[in-house]
Amino acid sequence: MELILGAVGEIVTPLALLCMVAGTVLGVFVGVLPGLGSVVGLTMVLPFTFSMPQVPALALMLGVYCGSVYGGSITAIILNTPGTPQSAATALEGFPMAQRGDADLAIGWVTAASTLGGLFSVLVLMLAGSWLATFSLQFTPIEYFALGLFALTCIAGVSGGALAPGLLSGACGLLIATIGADPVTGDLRFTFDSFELSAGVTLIPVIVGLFAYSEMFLRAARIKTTEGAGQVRVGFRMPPLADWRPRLGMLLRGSMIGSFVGALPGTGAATAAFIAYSEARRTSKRRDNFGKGEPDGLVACESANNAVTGSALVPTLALGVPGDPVTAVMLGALVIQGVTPGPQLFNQNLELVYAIFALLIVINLIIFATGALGASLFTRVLRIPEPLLIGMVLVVSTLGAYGVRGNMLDVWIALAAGVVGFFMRLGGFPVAPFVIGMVLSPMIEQSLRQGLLLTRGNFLAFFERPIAFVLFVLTAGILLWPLRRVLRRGGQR
Amino acid sequence: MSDNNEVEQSASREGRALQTGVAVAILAFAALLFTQTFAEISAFAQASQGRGPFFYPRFIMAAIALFAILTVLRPSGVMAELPNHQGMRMSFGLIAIVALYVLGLVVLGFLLSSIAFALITPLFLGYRRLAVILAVAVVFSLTVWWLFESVFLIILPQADWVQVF
Repeated sequence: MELILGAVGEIVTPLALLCMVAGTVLGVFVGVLPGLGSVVGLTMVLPFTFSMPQVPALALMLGVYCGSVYGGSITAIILNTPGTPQSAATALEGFPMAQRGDADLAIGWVTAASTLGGLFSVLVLMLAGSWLATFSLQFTPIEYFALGLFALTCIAGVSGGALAPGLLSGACGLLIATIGADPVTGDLRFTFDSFELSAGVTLIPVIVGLFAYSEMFLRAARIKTTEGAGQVRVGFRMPPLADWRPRLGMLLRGSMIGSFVGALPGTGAATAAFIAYSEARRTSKRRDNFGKGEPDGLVACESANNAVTGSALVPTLALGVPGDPVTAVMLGALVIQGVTPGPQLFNQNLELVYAIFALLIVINLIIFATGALGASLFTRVLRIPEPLLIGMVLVVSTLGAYGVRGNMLDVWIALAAGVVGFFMRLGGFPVAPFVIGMVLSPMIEQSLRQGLLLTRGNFLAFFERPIAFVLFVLTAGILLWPLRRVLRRGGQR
Repeated sequence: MSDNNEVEQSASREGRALQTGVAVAILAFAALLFTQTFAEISAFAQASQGRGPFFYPRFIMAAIALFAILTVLRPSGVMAELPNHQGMRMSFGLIAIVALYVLGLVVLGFLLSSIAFALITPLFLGYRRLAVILAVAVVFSLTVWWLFESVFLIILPQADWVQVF
């Protein structure tokens, strides 16, 4: 009780409240604009958090994160173009509803479903986060090594459709993270006698480059200078309570799917939304109305994609293992704030953990208020000319890269990562595994070397630990899965 | 219909060529770093049961070689349709402008270079409403500069010759 009161006291400060509201509104703004997405939004606000206390900084980041997932649905409904990939499924029912003149009602459905899905996921985070942190106390370096490999393989396997380019991208991230001083012996690696590189390549400039810069470079190639996409103005209409009753099961199922999928590495809100939508289409009594603007579909996918926001933080906070680039940026922000995610966070800094729970609850409520009061305003955001937007995003992103260490080398690294990301994305390489590889590399290396010390250099002894063995088997399963098709083709011949 | 197919096949062919090119570039980069793994290491590292500083990076390099070869042999994945020549010119142009902006941060400081960048970028990208561009460039850059310098107390890049900027 004392902790809960302490957490409430932490978030009920003028600065924290301001950051929650500003973060959520900015997040919805970023989500509404097609293509920007959660990661770009987070990298844009990151520099503003550097000099803030922990809780307001987290309030700003979490607000942008949750707000951006919701914001994409507004564009999906009005323009049939999802603002973020997470809202792609929303367009399937939202746009037909808007076409028949019920865009305000569609926004009402998605706003309420997003809020309830988000609140459900906070409950999951509260229960599963503590449990996972306690469970992981039994982990030795061997389990952490197996976990790191498993998480990276998952993300590489599912984020781009093809395994080899995904794994290559992930391996690049692992390698880039080894630049600088060796964590065990202190020897310098790959610094080319550069003093600045001896401190290594930090995560945030690479994220800024791979996501924000490369996105803007790609947008420049398909630039539209005309205004008018946002000429449509819509409001907010809350669906009547009687219409909610038959859809409560759908809401609960969507929230559960989102919470489960969100906790898995590499999947994310887009996957959760499509699974929930398919499930709703299969089980709904009103399945014949799907594709024509059926609220069941909206409730399912919006509760699912917002339910990802809390559960995706479970492995990030409890194990220090981010499941996607969004949580990787969150992890980076936590580290900058002097917080080390992992089991010790739940043991030594429980007040901050409770503050995060409280922040997420309030932010989800703010999302509802933002949608209800500002839906018509956000549709105007779409009228901002893209060339102006690109300039502003690039300036703020550059500050994000510079501000971590106040170092111009980081800005050059961001630019280099932007060019690399531009070519990787054009060439069909997913960039998410690159970032996750960079985050996991220190953990994988240290746990591997500590594990080898524990087993006196015997790698086979790694397989004698049951949890590690299960994780190794799962990793091998993901790696060998594509062979299934080859074998099947061989069998058919 | 056949024209569409030809365009799709061409995009796909170009995409595959680009994927192969990126994989080869990554392999070359890893090979360059591999040459560095033979550098002299400290006596402490030599004594650490053979698990020196380059033990782990060499594993990753082997993995990179394997995955790069697999990618070259069988390009796959979701490849975006490549932009046309004009589009690529716009992208490369923007990359060059960002590079100049980064140089400008050192030479001119944050405020002046950001105003210049926010003026040039929309013009380069084809937006022609000068009054809007000028207003946005000045107001946006000044607001960001003031927020960081005065509210968040983060020192932004400054020109040596004019301390204010």
